[in-house]
Amino acid sequence: MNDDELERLFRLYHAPLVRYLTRRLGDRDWAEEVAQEVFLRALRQESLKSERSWLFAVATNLVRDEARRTARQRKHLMVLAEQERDSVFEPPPTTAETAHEAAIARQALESLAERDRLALLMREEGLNYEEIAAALELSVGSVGTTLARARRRLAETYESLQKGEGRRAAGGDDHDR
Amino acid sequence: MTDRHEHIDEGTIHAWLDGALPPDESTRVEAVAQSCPECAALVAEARGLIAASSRILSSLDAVPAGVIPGSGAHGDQLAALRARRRASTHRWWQDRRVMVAASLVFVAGASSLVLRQSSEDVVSPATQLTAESDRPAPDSMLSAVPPTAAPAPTATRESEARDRKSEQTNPAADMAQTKVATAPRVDSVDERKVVAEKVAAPPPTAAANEARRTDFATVGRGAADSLAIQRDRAAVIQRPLRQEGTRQALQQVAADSFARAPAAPTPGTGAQRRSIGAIGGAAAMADAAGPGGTCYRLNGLTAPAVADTVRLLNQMAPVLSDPSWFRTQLFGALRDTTLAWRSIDSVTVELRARFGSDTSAVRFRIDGVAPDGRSLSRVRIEFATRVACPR
Repeated sequence: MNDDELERLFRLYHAPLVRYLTRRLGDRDWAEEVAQEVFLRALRQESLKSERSWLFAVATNLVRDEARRTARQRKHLMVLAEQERDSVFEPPPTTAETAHEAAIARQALESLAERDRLALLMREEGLNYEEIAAALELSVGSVGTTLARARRRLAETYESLQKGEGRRAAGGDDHDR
Repeated sequence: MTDRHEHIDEGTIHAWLDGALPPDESTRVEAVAQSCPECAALVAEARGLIAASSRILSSLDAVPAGVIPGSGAHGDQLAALRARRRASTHRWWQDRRVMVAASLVFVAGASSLVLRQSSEDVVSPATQLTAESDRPAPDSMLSAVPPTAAPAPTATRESEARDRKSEQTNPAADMAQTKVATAPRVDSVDERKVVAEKVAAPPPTAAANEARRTDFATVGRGAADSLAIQRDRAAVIQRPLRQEGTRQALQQVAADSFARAPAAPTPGTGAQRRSIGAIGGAAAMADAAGPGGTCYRLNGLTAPAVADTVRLLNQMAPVLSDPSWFRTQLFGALRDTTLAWRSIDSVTVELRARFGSDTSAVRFRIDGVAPDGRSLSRVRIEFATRVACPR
């Protein structure tokens, strides 16, 4: 791939790729790192047949590989955290409403099945059904169903979490006693 | 009239609204949607779900960035990519600067965790280290780093071997012609972590051993910075340990101070900074960081996060120099590196690093999970910003 081709690819897809990864990872800097790695791998290719789906697929694989690696450790840490949650401080709520919304949104997003989540995030970045199917090894015909399920679950979970937060804020939660 | 309409399923409706149906199918769905009230309701609901999903996901975009030098503009990143391409014959694992550039990940934060010092449940801070070795430092920084012929750490050689294997089994030509979804597994992110994960854990301190359980917490991911190494000025400063009792008492005082400090409504702003335990801070800072040090400030922490960040850092072979400045010397790939930190105020931790070896890049990252695994971004730590090291 020559420099002109790289530049074209970068200008076209860097922003959506970073946004996709940021939404997926919750970390902009990490997302940019992964995105850079994706483009570096693209550089090594002579040509890309379906460039957008290729880029998103490689990005997804990069994240997945790292997630596998950290999952076991994270799970262990969460178990330990659960054991200690009553004996330590309660994290103070942030004053930033956007941060609160983002936290709920992330929780809702994480509640989706992996494939549903990735399909939704890719669609939000403008990938068409063929590209999503190629990136996720789905049939094109199932993408609509996947997206419908993802959107419904996301919206419903988000709403339910908001209501739950509201109840907790009103003092209805006694889990921490 | 009986229901003669052919109902359309939800997936088809979404595909139609997404413009993914072929023209004839699209026409058919449109006709059904117009003539079937139930279908029309489904369509309306699908529109709402699509809009709601977009809105929900957009709330995830409020993630600040741009604290990594050279990672902002497209032009800079393109230039970095090109530079990496030009250097492709000199693989990253062959670069000594990179090999020793295991970065640091400091786990702090919002979820409380337990360290059990003498069981298999030990969560060693060393296991939280993360290599950022593949991250290109800005040219201006790299130019200051002299090459070295020192042997590669074992972990790096293993990483190299795996990478070579990967290259052999996944030639580029295959990648270009393979189905996208079967694109070669990419391992570099993992491999970048291998080096740091194999860094020897710092020895437990006496204080740590005495503490059966130590709490710390994690808040979210912070940011990073790349460092230049000024090799000629690198020297490790190691203060003698004070008496154990004094050390423990000071640690306790410091932790209590952090815990008591009120949270600022707008974290990290200068006006709200309140120095905690500034006794001897300047002198200790100069001593710990030294003239070759690079200073960082971790902004946007909550008060408990500051307490737990420092508490966690104290797990890393602490050499307590005074109540406000803590210092450690790192081991393994980061040998001869001196690290110092202190709390600036209830929401800020200042971190200073001095590198005695050929480390070219370090990433500070506040990492972790919320107690219930669902509040990662709620109490998200912001960034480590590079600051001038006052003398």
